[in-house]
Amino acid sequence: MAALICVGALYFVAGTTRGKTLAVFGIAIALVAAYWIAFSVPPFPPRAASQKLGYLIVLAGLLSLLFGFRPDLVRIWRPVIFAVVIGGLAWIAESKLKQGSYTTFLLTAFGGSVALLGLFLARDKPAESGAAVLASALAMAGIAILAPSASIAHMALAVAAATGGYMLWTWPKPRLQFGEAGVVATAAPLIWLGGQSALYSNASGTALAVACLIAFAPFVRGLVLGRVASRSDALRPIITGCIGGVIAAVALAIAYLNQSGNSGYGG
Amino acid sequence: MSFLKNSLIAVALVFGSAGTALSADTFKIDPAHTNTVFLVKHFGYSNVVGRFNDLSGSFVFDQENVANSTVELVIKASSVDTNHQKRDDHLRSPDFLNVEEFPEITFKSTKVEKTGENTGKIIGDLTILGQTKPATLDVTFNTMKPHPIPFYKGVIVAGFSARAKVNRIDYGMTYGQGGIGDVLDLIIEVEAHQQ
Repeated sequence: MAALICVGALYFVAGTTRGKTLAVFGIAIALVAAYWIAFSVPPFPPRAASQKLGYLIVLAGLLSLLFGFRPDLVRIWRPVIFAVVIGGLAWIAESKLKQGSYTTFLLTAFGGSVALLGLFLARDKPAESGAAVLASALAMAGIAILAPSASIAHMALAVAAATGGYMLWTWPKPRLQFGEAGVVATAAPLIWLGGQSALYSNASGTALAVACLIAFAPFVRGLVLGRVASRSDALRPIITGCIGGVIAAVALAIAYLNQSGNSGYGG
Repeated sequence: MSFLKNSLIAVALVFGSAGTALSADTFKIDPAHTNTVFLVKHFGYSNVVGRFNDLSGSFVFDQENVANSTVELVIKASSVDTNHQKRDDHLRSPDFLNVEEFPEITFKSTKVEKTGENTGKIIGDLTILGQTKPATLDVTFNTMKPHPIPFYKGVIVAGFSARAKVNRIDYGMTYGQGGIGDVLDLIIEVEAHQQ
């Protein structure tokens, strides 16, 4: 709801031209609000990865605002996004890196980079990018619940809800852009959550790796079903969402099969 | 004659060591006879009872001047055990103890006060989830004497019972507020061997 209001407000207040690129900043505002409501303002300096995430979400939000103002500087923003995402992962992995445990961090960084590449391929398809992020966030939430880690699931669901709020403005009729601003506002927090899951919870690494492939759903849609769906703006995101949903289901099945025991524990 | 002399020296050493236990001596915790138990409210229905199966550490105990005593304890967070595998996995996750990121819970005393004949307070720094906050253990000194079972070869053993209340929110462990109690009752029963 917060994203729905913020995205719409930015779209109208900033004007239809500037508003198109700035509206995704509404997702970032909603995510910061979701974090603060659930976990309050994290202490400074932050110690735990979950506390660092609170600051990283703010950073991602500020970058999405900057990218929204200058969406034309794609060649600059993409390396910046890679650097910020990997740097954020390294910060989250700090205690593991200090212990000399590099493998999980490197695998997480690789998975995050792959997911970013997938979304960059779809930057001109805002509703499809949104559908892919939505499916990724739901997959991430499901994997975290099975881990179990409800706090990670909570933030992944917040990403899903905020992206859903954004999509209501740009689907079925395309109005907004996603671009690098959208990628940094949504995918970066998801990748950091994935890193936190991989590094510090019992989440299935294989399931997380599969979930990274959801980012390629728009690309796969164009590759496999391009002719079928290319004429309908409304249909493309649905097909993309379905492709992402199938990959998410595979990831969740793997996570379910890998979870340790099931004896009716609910909290 | 030589045997008698050696025996007398041995007896003197044993009693001598027992005597020195009255001054400041270092003790190492006996994990086989130490229990760390916690109770936390569960939606008001009952208290979940759990334990940490791995507590180690040592203390210096000066029975004549308790203020000279010091304590250092280390709990392996992953050793949490509530007799339910799924719940233990959740307690180890980032929602609660976050054991992969913060493998140890530590306590280091900063001040020891005598409050009664056999009671005292140990004030110190408790570190959970990387956050260090002051905490107080209410301690009862049970006994200190050579162990009666021959297997222990007369080692001096000290026994204490400690109680504390720990507010998990102070350490950033905020998950499940409202349902799962904020304050944990901590019970530590310790036996330690003189070094």
